[in-house]
Amino acid sequence: MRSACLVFCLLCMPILPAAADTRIVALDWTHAEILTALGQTPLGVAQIPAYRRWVGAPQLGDQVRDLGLRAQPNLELLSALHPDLILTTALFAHLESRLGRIAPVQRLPVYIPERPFWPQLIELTRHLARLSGRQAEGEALLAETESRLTAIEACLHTLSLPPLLLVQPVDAHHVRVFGRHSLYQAVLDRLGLRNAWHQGSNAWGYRVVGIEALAETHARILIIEPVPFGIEARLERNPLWQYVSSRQTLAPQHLGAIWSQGGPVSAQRFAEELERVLLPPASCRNEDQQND
Amino acid sequence: MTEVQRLALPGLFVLLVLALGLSAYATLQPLGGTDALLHPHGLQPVSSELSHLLVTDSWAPRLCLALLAGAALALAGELLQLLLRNPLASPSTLAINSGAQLALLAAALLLPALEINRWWIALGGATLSVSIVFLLGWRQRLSPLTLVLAGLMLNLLLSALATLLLLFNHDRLAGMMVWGAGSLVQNGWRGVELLTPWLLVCLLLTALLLKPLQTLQLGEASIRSLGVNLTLLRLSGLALAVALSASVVSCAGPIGFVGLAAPNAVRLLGVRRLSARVPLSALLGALLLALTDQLVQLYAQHSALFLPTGALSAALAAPLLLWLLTRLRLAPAVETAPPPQVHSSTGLSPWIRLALISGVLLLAALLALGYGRAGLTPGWTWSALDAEAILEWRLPRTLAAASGGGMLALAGTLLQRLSGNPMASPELLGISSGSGIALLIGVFLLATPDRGDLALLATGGALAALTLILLLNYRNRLEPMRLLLSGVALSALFEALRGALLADGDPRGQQMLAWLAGSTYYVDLPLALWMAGTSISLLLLVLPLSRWLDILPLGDACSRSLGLPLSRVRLGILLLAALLSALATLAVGPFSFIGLMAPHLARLLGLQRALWQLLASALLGAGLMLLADWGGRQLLFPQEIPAGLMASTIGAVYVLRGLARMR
Repeated sequence: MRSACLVFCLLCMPILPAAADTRIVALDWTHAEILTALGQTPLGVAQIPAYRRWVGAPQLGDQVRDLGLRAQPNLELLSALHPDLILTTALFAHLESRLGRIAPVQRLPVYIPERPFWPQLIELTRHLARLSGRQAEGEALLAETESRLTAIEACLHTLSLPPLLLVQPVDAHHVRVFGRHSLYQAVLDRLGLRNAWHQGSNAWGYRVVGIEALAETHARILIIEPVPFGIEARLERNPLWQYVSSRQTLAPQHLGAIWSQGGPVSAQRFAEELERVLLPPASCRNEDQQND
Repeated sequence: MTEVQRLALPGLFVLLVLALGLSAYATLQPLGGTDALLHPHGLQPVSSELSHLLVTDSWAPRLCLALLAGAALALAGELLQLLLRNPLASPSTLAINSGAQLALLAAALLLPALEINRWWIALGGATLSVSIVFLLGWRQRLSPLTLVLAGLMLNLLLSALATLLLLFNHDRLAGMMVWGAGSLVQNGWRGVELLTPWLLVCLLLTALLLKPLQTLQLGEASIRSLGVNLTLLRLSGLALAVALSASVVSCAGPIGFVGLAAPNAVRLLGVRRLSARVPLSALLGALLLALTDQLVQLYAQHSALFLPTGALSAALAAPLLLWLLTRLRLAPAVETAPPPQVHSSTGLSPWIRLALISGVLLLAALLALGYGRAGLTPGWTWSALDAEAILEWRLPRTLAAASGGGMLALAGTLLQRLSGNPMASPELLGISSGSGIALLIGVFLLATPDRGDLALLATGGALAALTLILLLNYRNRLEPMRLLLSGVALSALFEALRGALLADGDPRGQQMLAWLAGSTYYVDLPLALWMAGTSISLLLLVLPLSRWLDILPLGDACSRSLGLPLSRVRLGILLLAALLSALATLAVGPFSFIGLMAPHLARLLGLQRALWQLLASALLGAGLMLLADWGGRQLLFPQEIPAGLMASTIGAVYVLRGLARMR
């Protein structure tokens, strides 16, 4: 499947006009992730150390400049980079007039809560691909994501799995629970899995609740990294957490750091992490690996 | 004790116990009521098991911890007030709490492996900060004013440093925001287990020290003649107070109010004997904190907005402090610092001095506009940016910082001349805090405030704070101690509000934090020009008043006899000072202390007459703020430290140094 895509892209390339390498700056991590996955390394990204902690992949090379805080990117550095395009989101709308003096600004909302998630993801990827002149890579990325998700869905389809609860501890008494408007929910829907959290979430796809709010759920608890240092140990000592986790069939498991508002690469990684924790060892996952 | 007082104390206790009982019942209801407490296995095993667990492992330990922490804080406050003979001493006013908090924040970031030993880290931080306060007050024989002032400045300095840590490590420290605002939430009995032994040990030691502590109410000579080692007594009492406060901070974060309120209330209700005061304050403190915490829980059940216990307690501390100010008779000890020695006879005329200062200002401006780390070349260089880029990026910020600094300096000079008190400044009087509070509330309530709205809000807040201060100090003719304490109260309120809004986790909150810390990031050229224009016109407005400003420090009688319409002049000057500081707050935030430093520096440079001092402090204030803005932009490039934060750190250090040198 992948080789077929690759051949298709190679055939397409002479047909498409060669696009100049646009110099793009991405303030938002989602845009940075997608652009890097498309092969268009952004000139600068905000808060690179935090990106490495929260998003992880695809990795940003050393030549990408750190622009400072996301809410206050360093304007002098930005203007010295001479970008052709600056990408922002609605959260940084107040900066647009200032940024507009450096380069054309495009406000690309990452995900609008009222609309379905997955089509927005596809649309965003295609749009970024167009902007950077890498439509072929964009289609390849989407196709690869699609095929990966379909394969994993097929594996999981055979098993009857309990609902999942996706949490991220904030401190020893509160956790973020992820629900609608997050990438996780979109991938769960795509894979035919159920989310045990039905009580709504904010515009960024989560809700901060005390641990007692999780007590009534019957689900498999999945903890998403990064967890603040020392919180893990304190959670385990917490009788309420012990009660909540003892009521589930299996102990809580950890998933690697994946951005909750990520793009196709994050979607793939999330699906693969789910596959890793949900499937028993001898299963269609091994067969899948043999096929590749 | 009069009849009323005799009944007041037991009456108060009965009232508090009843209120606590009622609110505890109310908070227990959603968890399943008393059934959940008594019967673990009800009709529906699962949900009643959960209710029982919630009650025994969440509700009950929280209530116990509130009682214990309240007792510990009240005991610490009582010890401090006794040792220092200062009714306003408490763990929060002497910077004990903020020292512990900063130490824990720094440890969480830099040495996460030490997380497990929180208690020791908190103790270390608390000891360090209280030692600094004491060292500063030592030369003044620990006079009440000096200690409170030193505590206030250290609080602000430590708070500035904590803000810095939070600004740049928001994602890693997000988990500590709730604790950092003072939270008694518990899961399990671990907190109670940690606090109980310390509380018992300290109670025991206090009981042992009771006899010697009673002698503190006598004069020093009497104490010595009784054979009590005063230094040892003071140190041990202080160590107890610090240990108690540090324990509470490591469990529940910084909580103010209780350590101040309980001992004062007990004393105001007429209890004199120490052996009665200590247990009664502890009891009262326990009830007060427990009641506050229950109210917070009740509020949380009916509202989505997050309100941490520490924020509510700090918000309650402000009106309490203000009320105490009107009630208490403060010892009329030496308060005002003598003006610093001036080398007045060096012969340079004021014009030349002013010209020199302007020259330095110009140099600073050139530095800010041209030098530093910019662009893509690593290291510090004279800017590779062309003139157009400088005009765009650096000039507005430099201009705004300079205007803000100049306006604050003018406000400070006006206030210092008006009150004859070298410690008067918009920040210490609470005028800036008033603007800050108004801005915080306004920005969260209004959808998209524009500049005009913000200016109105800031001015309104400053005027409200000014009115409050005037009302409280009207009869006392702006007596220094009370003025400063009004400032302390208002700044505590501001900090509480800011802590609560940050703990909420609202993304706007982080932006607010940067903006209120005095960042010039959001200034553009039209705003900068407007600010420059306003500051120059206000300066021109103020200069003709210099004749009055020369006369005012000579005293009321003198001023009146020279034909000055005293009350109108005072009012006018105060209004001008409020306007100046409100407008400056918009650019550089509330706590930069330029208004305190600049007039002092102008004096030190030999410019003592009003006209020269006004001009010089405006120029010096502009220069200082300019340099703070430049430093903030360059030190952690590409991150930016807000100008106000830089200036407040420098300013706080300056004041602390000044206090250390005072005789």
